[in-house]
Amino acid sequence: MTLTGHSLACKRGENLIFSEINFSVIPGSICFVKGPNGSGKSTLLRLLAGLLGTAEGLLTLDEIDITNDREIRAEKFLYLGHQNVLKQHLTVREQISFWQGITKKCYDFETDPMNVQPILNKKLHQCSEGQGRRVALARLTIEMKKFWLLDEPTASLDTANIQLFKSILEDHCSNGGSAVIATHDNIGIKPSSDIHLSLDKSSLQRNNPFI
Amino acid sequence: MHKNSRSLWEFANPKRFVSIANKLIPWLTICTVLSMSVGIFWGVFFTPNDYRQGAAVKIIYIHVPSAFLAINIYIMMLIASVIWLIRRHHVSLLAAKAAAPIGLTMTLVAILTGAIWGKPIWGTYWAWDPRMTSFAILLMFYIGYISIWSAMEYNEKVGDLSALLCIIGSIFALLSRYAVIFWNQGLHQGASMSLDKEENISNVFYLPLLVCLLGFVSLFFTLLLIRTRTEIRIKRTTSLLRMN
Amino acid sequence: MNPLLYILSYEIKASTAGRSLFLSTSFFIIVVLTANISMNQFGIRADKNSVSILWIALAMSALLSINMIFQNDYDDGTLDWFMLSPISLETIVILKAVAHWVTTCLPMMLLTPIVCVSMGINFNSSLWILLVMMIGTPAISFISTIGSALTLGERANHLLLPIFILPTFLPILVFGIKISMLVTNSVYDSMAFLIMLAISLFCIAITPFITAIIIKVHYT
Repeated sequence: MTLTGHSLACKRGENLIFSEINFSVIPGSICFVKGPNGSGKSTLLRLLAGLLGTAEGLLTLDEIDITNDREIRAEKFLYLGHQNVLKQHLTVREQISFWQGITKKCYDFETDPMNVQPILNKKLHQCSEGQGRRVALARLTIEMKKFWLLDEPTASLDTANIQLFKSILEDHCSNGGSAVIATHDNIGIKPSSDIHLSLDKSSLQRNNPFI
Repeated sequence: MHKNSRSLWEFANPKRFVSIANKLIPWLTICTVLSMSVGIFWGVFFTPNDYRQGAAVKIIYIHVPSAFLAINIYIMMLIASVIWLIRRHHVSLLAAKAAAPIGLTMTLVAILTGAIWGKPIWGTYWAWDPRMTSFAILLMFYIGYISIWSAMEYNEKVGDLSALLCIIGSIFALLSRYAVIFWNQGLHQGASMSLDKEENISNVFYLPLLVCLLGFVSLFFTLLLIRTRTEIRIKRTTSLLRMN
Repeated sequence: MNPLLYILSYEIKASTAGRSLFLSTSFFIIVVLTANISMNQFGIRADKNSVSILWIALAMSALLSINMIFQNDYDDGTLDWFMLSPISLETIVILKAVAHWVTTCLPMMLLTPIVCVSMGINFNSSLWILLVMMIGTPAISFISTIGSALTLGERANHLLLPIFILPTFLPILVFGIKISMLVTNSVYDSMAFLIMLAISLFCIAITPFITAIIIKVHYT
């Protein structure tokens, strides 16, 4: 399954965040979103996930237009943003069992790819930032979606845990999954393609009716 | 849109709106000053006293037009909000935003003049009669609408939220109004405090009242145009500032 | 188990684990007690007609926990996750409202018969008041979701929410208080009950759609 973006653009209010974004993600490949802070990396990922509307352009999956198709996206995409999607007052075990229950899939406690075993009985507000992120990444291995859209997945992870993340990412790709990742860290994986976003906002105020 | 086609939506262009408003405002101001002064003078000095209420009845020339506006401005805001939600014309949204404080003022004026009128006639400034309660409810929803604008910065999202709030407000204002009417008329004897002015009133009072009404309506339109123009200019300034 | 039930139990678990349950019920008791104590000091007996305090306290404590409905989810990304899930947003809103009702209104209602004793209301009447609350409080929970959705991301403006949410409680409060007063005086007006039920059901019917629209506004 190939995910392709055809000259995508995004508008917030009358501000154009970016435009003319073209890319293609083939199965088993990883695409990095590059650009300075404020260039719209998070916005692009949210747009791909379907949390924001596309102002222009098309998003296709195997030549099928999915720009406004919520159901296919829900089935194929997994979005993980800056926030960990964790409830502060629950324990890690409760959180994971909720995901298992809702997806009817299991976290592999035997191999424990994200090493959550030692913190299972901790409440999430007692966990450190990095531990919380690990739990959030554990969801990736539970939900088993084809496309991962990850925004700074390795934020506040130490080197050892980045290696854990790298291994689940490689597993995912070898199973035919693909990922679009916005990151500043060096994960140690060579991406097959890049999306470059720039800070140039010369077309920023286009279509403003007040000027 | 075709260049020569003249439709209502032309006003939706902020620049067109401002230029039209510039031309209209002087005329509307003259109309307001004339009809208000004529109406109020006529009403206060050239009509006889009411045989029951005496001179106190003359406050009607402020009370009725302001009450009329208080309700109709909310309806105007509702319509403008719906237009914004459907056609996304900024002028419509800004007009709703600009109208709200005028509507709030009119509600306060209506309540205040009503209280002044009520003291000599009913012997009380305020009673929880259904009509007065409705105005209290209206006041609350005006305050709610204005507070959402004052609390957040102008952007399209806040515009949507305020428009939705306006719609929700009108649903719940109506519900509350009929809930109050149910208890005041459904179980008890009618309070029979509110005179139905328009129906009972004789021609001597009716004509100056109409002139006053015209004066208040044109006052509203003058203020609305001025305030909307200001809002558009603020919006334009901030957009230009952000561009540089 | 049905995924909807899963989400519901998750919601209830997440909000009770945060102790907000205890806080809003204590707030309810404190408001009622303060009002009763201060009124009784001046020879004014807190009598049957002061049942309105109960309703005001109920509305206020429901207000206190409104922020919890969507704000936490918005902050920790769960709302994004709901938006992307195949379950429709309207359903999520209904689940949220039910969870809010179970965790805030239900405990308060269970306390009502006890609190009523302090107001000199007999047990039989207090059961009737409980029935009226049973009709009215679901609507309060559902309307609360509107307020919670409207002020998403507006952490700084805590006062904003009560300003436009309290007036929307009016229809329920007007009927609830009036019927409760009549009931304590042994007047049972079945038409009023039915109309209150109708208002409550109307609010429950429209709010999920309104709230879903408001949440979508935050995502455009």
